[in-house]
Amino acid sequence: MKALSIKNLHKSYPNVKAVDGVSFDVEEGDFFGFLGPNGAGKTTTLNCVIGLAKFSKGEIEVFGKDNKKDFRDARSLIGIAPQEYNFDPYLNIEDVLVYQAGYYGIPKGKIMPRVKLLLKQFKLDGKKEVDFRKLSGGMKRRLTLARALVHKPKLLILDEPTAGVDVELRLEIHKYLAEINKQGVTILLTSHYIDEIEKLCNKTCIVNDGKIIANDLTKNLVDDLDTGHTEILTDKKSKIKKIDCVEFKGNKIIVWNKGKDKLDDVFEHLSKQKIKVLDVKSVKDSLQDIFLRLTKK
Amino acid sequence: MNWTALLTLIKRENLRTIKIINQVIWPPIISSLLYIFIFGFSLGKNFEVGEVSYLAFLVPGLIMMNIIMSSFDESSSSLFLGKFINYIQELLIAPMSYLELVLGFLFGSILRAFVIANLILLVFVFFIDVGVQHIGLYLYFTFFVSLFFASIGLIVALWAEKFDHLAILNTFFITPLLFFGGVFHSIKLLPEFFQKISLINPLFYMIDGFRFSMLGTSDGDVFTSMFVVLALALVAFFYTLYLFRSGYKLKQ
Repeated sequence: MKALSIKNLHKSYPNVKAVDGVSFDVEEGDFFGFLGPNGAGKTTTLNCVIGLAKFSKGEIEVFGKDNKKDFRDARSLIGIAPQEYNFDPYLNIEDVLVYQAGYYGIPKGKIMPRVKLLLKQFKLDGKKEVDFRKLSGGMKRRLTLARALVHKPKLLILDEPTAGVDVELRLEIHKYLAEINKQGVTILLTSHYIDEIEKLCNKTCIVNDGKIIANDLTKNLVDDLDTGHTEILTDKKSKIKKIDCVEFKGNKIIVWNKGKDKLDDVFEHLSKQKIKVLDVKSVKDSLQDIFLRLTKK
Repeated sequence: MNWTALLTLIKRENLRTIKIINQVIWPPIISSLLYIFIFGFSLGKNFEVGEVSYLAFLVPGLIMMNIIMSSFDESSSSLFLGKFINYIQELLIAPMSYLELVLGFLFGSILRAFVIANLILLVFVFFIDVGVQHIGLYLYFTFFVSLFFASIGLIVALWAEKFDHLAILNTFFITPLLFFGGVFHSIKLLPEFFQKISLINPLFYMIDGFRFSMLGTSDGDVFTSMFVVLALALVAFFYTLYLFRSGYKLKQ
């Protein structure tokens, strides 16, 4: 079952084509990474999914429910944790969750046990009467997640869920997200921490200039592109010689995997200059390297 | 209809009113009392308008003025603040229809207007001989006038880019039209030309019709007032609904 299906999505602003024919599917149970540089069309795509942006062309379905025609069903299935804090300033912490459930059609009497559970899980039970402005950054982040989960969504959309939190909380959030994903909640995650995507997401989609430029299993994306390199460390600076796929950077020489057959040429070049090789190591590119290369940043 | 969501939003609007009670409930009551003391007890104590004392004449005007002000202020400030701090997104992504959203905001405002109107009336009946002659009309005018101004408040809040914009309508339209609409005077006291001018002021019909509901006497025809108020309220309501449906300044 597809948790989210986006087909040929187009969205334009005056003079700007923000989303240009984006299509991708998120399968039920996926932990899906959605990457893109600023202004790539990532947030606009997500806003089209959650109903904050109108789109001129395309189809969006959430667990088979059209997000325009069956908007009530589609939206009930989604939980959203936005990057910016947008809590109601007139509500205390407990009421933030109670009222959120109310907007999703769940009355206070029914939701209270879940509210108590979430407050406990996110270590906010001691602050339930407090105004959100008095919470620390980490607590606000936890409240954002609790609010997104209060109505038990099947698809959780997280926009930079660990932005501005310390390492300890970041790891705690990773652990919690991995746990709820195991329990069956499909997660769509955008993050500027690419290692976070690499660590958590089984699939990754990269968008740039409003178009999908890569969409695969995260592992495949890292393996198949084979964009690793060999690093050769020398005892002194070598003369620069023009060899394809080879970069001379002082005492370090980089031979990209595409030019592996040039390694002999490099060693011969070093030998002629009587330069000693101190170390040779093979480096596999991270998702971050791939992301930067694909988006030409 | 998602009734739980609608009631939650109305409850939220009422909670907001309670949290800012010193800004929104007590000031209209105190300012109405001050108007009565200054204009009623001092200047107008021996003055009569038609068959009623000036004090009694003043009461419906003051109540209607506060119905208008409070319903406009509640809906405009609530929605604009929601836009300003992005809290509105919480509602826009929830499984609520545009009708439920609009009704939630409007009923929050209408309820505030009802509470303020009745609190002012309750205070006045202690020392002024005034009551409600036609309860049905009293409720009719309170409801439709507050519906009209709450809708206008939402329209202005959608259009506004900064807090300053919210004041434009209040300062340049509502307040002058209120004062010329007969809050403090009967238009029969005006020269004929200005009487005719007053008839194109929609607020005159609101104040005059409401005055009839309380005193049983009015400057104009009460059925005309009922029609004007109903027509304005419905046009404003449906236009508000149209703007929400189109996502005007709410959605990208």
